[in-house]
Amino acid sequence: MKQIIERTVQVAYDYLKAFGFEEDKVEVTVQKGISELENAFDRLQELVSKKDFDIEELDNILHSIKGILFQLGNGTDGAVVDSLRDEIDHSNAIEKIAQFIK
Amino acid sequence: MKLSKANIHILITNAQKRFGLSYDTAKNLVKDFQNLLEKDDVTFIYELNYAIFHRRNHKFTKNILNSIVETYVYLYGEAKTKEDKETIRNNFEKLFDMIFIERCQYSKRLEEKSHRTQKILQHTTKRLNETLETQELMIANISHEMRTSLNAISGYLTIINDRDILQGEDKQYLNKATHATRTLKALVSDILSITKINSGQLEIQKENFWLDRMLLKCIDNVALMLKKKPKIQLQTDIEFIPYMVYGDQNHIMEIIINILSNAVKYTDRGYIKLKMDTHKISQEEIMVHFVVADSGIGMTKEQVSHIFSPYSRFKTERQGLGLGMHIAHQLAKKLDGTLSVHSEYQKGSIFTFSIKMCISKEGKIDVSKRKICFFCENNQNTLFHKRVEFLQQEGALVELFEKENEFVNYLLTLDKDVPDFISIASSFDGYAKYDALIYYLKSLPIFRHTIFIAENINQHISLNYFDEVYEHFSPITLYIRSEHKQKHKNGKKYDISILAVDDTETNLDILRLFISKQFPNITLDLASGGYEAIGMFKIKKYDMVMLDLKMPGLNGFEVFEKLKKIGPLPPVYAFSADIYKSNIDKIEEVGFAGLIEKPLQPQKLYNIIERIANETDY
Repeated sequence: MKQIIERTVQVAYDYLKAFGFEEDKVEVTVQKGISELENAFDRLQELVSKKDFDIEELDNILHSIKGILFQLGNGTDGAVVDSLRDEIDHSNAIEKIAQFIK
Repeated sequence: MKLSKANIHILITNAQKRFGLSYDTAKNLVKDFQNLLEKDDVTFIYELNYAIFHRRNHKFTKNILNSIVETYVYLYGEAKTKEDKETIRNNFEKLFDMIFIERCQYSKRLEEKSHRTQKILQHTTKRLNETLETQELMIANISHEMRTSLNAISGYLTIINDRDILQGEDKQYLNKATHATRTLKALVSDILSITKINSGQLEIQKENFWLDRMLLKCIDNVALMLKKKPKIQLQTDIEFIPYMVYGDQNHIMEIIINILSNAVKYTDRGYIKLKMDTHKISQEEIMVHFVVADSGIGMTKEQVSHIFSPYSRFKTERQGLGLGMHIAHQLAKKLDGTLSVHSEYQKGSIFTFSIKMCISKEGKIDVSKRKICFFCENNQNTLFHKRVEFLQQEGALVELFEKENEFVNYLLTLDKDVPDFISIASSFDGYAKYDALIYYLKSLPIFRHTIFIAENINQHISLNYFDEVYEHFSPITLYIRSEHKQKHKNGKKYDISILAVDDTETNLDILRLFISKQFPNITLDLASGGYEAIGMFKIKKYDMVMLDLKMPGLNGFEVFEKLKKIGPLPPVYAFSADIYKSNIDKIEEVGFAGLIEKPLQPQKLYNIIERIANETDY
């Protein structure tokens, strides 16, 4: 999880700056985005640690994470989350998600 | 062994001739030599050693060596017995050893010592450099971190300020915090610059740019500072041959802004004159001199000698660390330019920055048949007339008005041959009036392609309908045919209202960032959920809606159905990262106007907004 966040921070600054936004605006957007991403990861971690959970809720959180990653320019991890969502019904889905956010 | 009288006489004569000694001196010398030979007294050797050391003369030493060898060879030949010969040989070896061998050994020892010292010095220098590099790296890192944090602080302060929720004292505190942050950012930025210059990390980035535009940008940069000092008059003398040059515009601007802001800082009344002189060195190169003269506090000779040293601020009540001029000087050197100063205490200072630049082949002046209308109220400035003359010489068709009623009458009665540019330099309260007039003129089809320019505004005023606003004067190159880009097609400014709905705040933040950059006049309302969006839609008319499809509570499709029931729908776009065929089919089926994909593709979004704005009657 920490690595994904670090990767996203690195990419996000360059991604938004490339569009010519002012540094302070980029800073605020990235910081808010990262904080939202961290919250979503916490929620995800909490959810997958439960024995029985609502699959709809899991999909919602993954959807949120995917959206934030994409919007902050981290398409690589966003695509991984997207594929996790596709396999959400599979028996080893939780294992894969746990592995991803380790 | 005993020297004969004849031999003593020969030795004295030889010494006199060879070294130009008096008889007595030569006699004493030979006496000492005699003592060495006969009594093994080494005084003679010490005397020779001292003489060689004292003179430090290669010829003298060689002369002594020759003399010694000749003397001993002569005496050896004269010696009668084997014993005497042995004594002479031993004596010679002793003398030679003490004078020359020991000297060589001593030199060798010295050399070794010097070598060791050099090594120690090299090692110490290396360590010192490493420490300095580490320190510079540390300062650079800390400064970078500080700047990042300061950007965040300043960003949040801007958000609070934009929300306009603070009042009275609280607002004052916010302004103070904003001001302090700005000052701190400038300081950190200075430290970063100086670290970059010192560590050789400064990158020279050359580009093509118009000199006059660059200079006007510099003036705009210090305009706010100047407004706080109404007793200063800014005078400009800028050549009107608009050269396009190839050079490091940003760093050149940094130098000029530094000098200009310094002039504003240290001048309380009188003038600040900015002059730009150019002269062609060849077809490819020009020398440009930027001169900033002020009637400020000036400097003493001692202060002038330290002006380019770091931390050289002289008046403690003035803001800043005193790094600005040091940075400017270092930058000028890096750009192969020169920065010099002439100052008189209590009278003022003159800074001259000179730099050689390449003339760009891309910059061609073509204003022929360009129709430009100038309104300069009360014939304020000779600069205005110089520009007009230049444009006329270059073939532009210029109309010049100085009286308001004639100018307004001209604008209102125009029915053909509308100017490409209308440039207005008005009195203090005139701009707001002309802003309203421009709003009306832009609604007339004949003014669709006209660019309205406010010049020399020198005040805080919010102008909505002018296309270009200049603190000082507009650059000549603005009127060049290929240079001007029409920012607002058909004079429209896209002041439509958009409602964007998404449960993820980051998505909304980024959407706002993109939209407000490209279309500053658009009103963008954000809702974080379906119910909130429905509530907002009920009370306000929107020209466009963007709906996230997957949201907790009501999803995008459900919100869309509810919006349909409220009233006539503007174009509603699905805003989603789920680009599946089933989703796209459903979007079309229920009647969305289209799909805006996540991650956002700005140009696609801009095209959609422009199309909606052009179709909207506003």
